[in-house]
Amino acid sequence: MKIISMGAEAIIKQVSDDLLIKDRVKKDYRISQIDEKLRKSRTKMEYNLLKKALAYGVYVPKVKDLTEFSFKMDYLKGELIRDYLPKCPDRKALFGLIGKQINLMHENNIVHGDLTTSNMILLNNNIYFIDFSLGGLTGKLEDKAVDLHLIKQALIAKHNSVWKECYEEIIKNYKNEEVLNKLKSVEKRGRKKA
Amino acid sequence: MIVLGIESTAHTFSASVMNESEVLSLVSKSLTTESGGLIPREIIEHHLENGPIIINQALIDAKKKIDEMDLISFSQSPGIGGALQIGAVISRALSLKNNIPLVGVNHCVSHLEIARLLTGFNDPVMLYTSGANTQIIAYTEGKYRVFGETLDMGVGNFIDHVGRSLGIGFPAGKKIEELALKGKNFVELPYKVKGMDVNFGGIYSNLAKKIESKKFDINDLCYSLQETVFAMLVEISERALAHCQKKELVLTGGVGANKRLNEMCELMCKARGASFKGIPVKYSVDNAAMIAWAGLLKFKSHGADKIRETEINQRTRTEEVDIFWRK
Repeated sequence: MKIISMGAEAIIKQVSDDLLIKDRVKKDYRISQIDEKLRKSRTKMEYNLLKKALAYGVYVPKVKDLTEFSFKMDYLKGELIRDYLPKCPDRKALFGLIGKQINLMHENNIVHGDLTTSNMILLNNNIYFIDFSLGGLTGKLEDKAVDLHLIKQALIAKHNSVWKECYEEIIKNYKNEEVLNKLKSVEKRGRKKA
Repeated sequence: MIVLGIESTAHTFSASVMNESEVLSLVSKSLTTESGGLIPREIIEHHLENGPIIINQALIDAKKKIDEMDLISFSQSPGIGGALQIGAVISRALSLKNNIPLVGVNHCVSHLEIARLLTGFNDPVMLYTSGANTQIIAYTEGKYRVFGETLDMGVGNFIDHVGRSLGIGFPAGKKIEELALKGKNFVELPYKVKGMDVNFGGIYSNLAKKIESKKFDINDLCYSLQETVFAMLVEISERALAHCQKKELVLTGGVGANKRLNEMCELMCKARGASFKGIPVKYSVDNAAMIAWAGLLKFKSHGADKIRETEINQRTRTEEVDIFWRK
């Protein structure tokens, strides 16, 4: 099988023309007690989150065939936002869509946990979210605020010249004021974030 | 060019003489305790008492005189205010009295630059793990950017906190590493990774309760602490390598002295076809050679600082620093 990507979490291989398998391979650097537990729980959690997200209308790949450490999913042949953003003609529209999708996820208590532009794919004018490895099902304002903080941090680090307008567009399309207030306190606390 | 570097951001006062390719001398002295943590006033007293002697010794070891220096470089940010101030005041005085150009450099950036020099890596992701700092840093668009970091305390401070609960003095890392080697049974602890960020507060509370209960073997707890916390750090390092599409990882900062952490970084890199290098302990802990080297890079690309530009800053963020020499 052809390897499509070697992320930090898992190897993604192509099963057929439109199907991928996400396989959480053993990590030699972790002792097995930690490694197996993380891989099992993250595989199961991610599978369930992707099913839920799809049911709520969030653009995510369809999943099937769950095993202990793997599942299969649709092969989305689009472009990573990481690569698309530098040549995007309308960043406001793009991040408006992203903001709406994040809002929809959070309204349904789905937290992504690793919101970066490497985890978003542009396909047929929709933004698909992939890699819910670190996601969770949670109603906590704190978790949602941290999610927003993650995308801000990722934009600052990876797309520094345009991060502000992109991030502002996300916030404009984010409806939950309570989460936005919580975000302020998350950013104020402890570390000296930008 | 010959540079005198002076480091005084935290518990270490250090001086080093460097030319453009090698370290001619490095003399450091750190405040340590038998038990309990550090008190800022004691750090200041330590630096006042030892600073001038250390600088003198660094010059003697390098067989140089102060007026042979072409540049003085000091750690300007970030750190403990009083500690930074002492290095800054001594540096300004030496510069003015001997008419030597002066530059202030960022302590974190200096860690990264000496790591680049020593490893020969051109564009690595850096796992920077010290007492106060725990960050994953990579260079993009003219700055060193922090891709992930601790959301509460630095990993070194976390280990020292645990050390205090165990009645070990400061710093506790080495002792905990020794105890961990004797641990055999894994005790489950919280595993706290969010994206490329980590946090340690919850793990500390959990451990403190376990220590207090006296129901667990101390060696087992130290072993489990290392396995859990280092796995978190290596995981976010791997995520940064994948995200930034880079192929080199360097480990630096005081916690980088830990053998198990080095081994885990090595294993992770090997599995994904990346290269890993650690650096010698004397250059991964706080040291003035890195300050001298970063000062040299800054001076050659940007010139000297004016005295009024040498004000200290306790909180400068890594990504705020202009990296003139890599543009």
